[in-house]
Amino acid sequence: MIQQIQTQRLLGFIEYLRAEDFCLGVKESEHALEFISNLSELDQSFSKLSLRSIACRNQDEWNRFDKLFNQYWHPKQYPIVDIRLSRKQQGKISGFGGSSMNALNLVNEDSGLKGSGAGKQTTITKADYRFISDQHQMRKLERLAERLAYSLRKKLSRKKVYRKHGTTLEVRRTLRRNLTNGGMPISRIYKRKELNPPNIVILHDISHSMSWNNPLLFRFARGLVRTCKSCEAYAFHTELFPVTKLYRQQSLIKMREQLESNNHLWLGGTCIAKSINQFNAHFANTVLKKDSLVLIISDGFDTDEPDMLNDVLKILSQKAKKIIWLSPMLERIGKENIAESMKRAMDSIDVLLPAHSLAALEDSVHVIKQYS
Amino acid sequence: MKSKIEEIKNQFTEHAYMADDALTTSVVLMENLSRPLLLEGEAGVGKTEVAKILAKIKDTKLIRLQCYEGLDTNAAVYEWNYSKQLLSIKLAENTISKEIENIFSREYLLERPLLQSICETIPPVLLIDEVDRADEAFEAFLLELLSDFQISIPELGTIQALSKPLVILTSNNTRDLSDALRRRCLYHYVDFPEHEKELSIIRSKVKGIDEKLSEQIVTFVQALRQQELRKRPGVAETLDWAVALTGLQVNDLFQHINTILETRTCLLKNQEDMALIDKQKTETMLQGIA
Repeated sequence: MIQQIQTQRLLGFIEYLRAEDFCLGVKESEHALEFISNLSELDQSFSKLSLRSIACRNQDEWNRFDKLFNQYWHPKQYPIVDIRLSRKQQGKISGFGGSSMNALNLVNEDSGLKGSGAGKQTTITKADYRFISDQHQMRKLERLAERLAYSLRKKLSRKKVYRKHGTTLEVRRTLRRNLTNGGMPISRIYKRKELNPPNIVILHDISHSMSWNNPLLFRFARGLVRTCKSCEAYAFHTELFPVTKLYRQQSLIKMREQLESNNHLWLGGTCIAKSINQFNAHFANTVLKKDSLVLIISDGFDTDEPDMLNDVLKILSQKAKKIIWLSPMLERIGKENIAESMKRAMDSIDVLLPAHSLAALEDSVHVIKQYS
Repeated sequence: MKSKIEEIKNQFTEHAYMADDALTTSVVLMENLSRPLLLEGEAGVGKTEVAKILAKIKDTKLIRLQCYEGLDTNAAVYEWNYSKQLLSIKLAENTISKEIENIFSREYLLERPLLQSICETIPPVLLIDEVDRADEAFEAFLLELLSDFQISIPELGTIQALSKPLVILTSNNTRDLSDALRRRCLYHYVDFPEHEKELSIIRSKVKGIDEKLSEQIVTFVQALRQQELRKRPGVAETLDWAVALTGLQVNDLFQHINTILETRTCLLKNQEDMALIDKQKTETMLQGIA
């Protein structure tokens, strides 16, 4: 009877981990049950270590596991803290618009968070990220945003396609094909040209006005940079600076700390045109290729002269294949109400897409795939 | 099970590798569940060493596959011995009987590391080192081996493992591995060691090192890892530095600041970090650990 209870609890723990985005299949459950048969006090540490090895898939899960284990198995010692209103309490984003629960409820309604169960799940991915107050949901969306870029990778394939014509001979296959000819290379096979992931250059606005949506957009940009080796990233507020290495950091916490300490994150106005001009002058020639896609992630609120943005984007568009602008404000204010500088630069912007929610970012990945 | 973990832990210690409970649990699970173990962590923390020591403990062969971009089945799994095949055909042309051997038989197959690992009668340790350096197409070749310990060769069929190897994959996390690969493996993140652990590693590996010096070295390196470096020094770098300082007959870091600066190439591997850890910074760090 006790064994049954323990098994039920263990299965409950596995479900709990799945709800925390741990990828645990049937096999992992079987292994866990096989080894963790006795969760008595004596075996607690062993059980925890074994489960961690079976359940975790990456460093992020490894770091979170201990806390989740303690919260589930020792709820009195490690209670789960209600983390609603965390943005307001932390004070990271000012002017949230009202401090009462009523105001927050209005905001949540405005964001479209309706429905329940699967319906609510779908709604959350489409909801404007800036209005989501549940930190659990926010972290989940951020993790998913980082994984969106995975679809840009080449599909895993065991079979390489070779060609009858080409410039580079595939020696092994040619020899093999011509064994029947006694080795004479009568029939030749050529190598297929390697398909490389798209060359993407990200220009990421990290100014104060972007602070509402940037936690999501950071993870999205980070996902792109970590997925595509040839992807470069530059951040800007009043000036531009390279952040590719920063975004490739293994540790997310370290990445944020470095951005915040070195570059006064969340502060300052935005000089979009000046920053892009800086990019054109110092980096564009070395970084951009004929097939490069430039991804500008910004709300478009620029303190520079309105015409300047159009001028710098014209220069940029000559060096890159396409300019794709992702704006977290687009869905909210509409195309007719975008910033004046952006309106004047619309001819130079090839594609203008919303970036307020996970679903919008997913659509943008499809667009990137089309152009790459 | 717990006694087995203790036993393995002691065996690692005998071979001068300080494995903690978590790592030995992962190793024991790998053996019992017959699943590969993926070790992730920064360069120089001792991931590759785990496989080498395990091979010594089990008294078995270590088969190593060093991954790189462009690695394919011909270098990793198998390749046909084309020259032998051509010779066989030529010989057959000139004989009266005209019988041709099957040129796609095992005799003409060159076994590469992955195929070798499943053809051993005694289970070897298969080390797939730095799997994140290989491209994603290569990961697909590993999937069948890691889940079912078999390899499919079109001309020969499926070759099942004679004995299941102990498979250890290492990764520096320079790129994200696919979910398909990760779910086939147990996982263990190898972090930089704590002070006491690193101290015991230095003292066991560097014979004749002064106790006070070893303490200072470890404290200094632990402090160095807190700095904003492009590449943090791993255990391997600490060992190199300890050997260098012992060779230069240094027994007190505080008396040899210039020697620290001259030997920092053991710890720091790029110009940016070298420029950051200059004389002033070194003195500040030494004051902090005094």
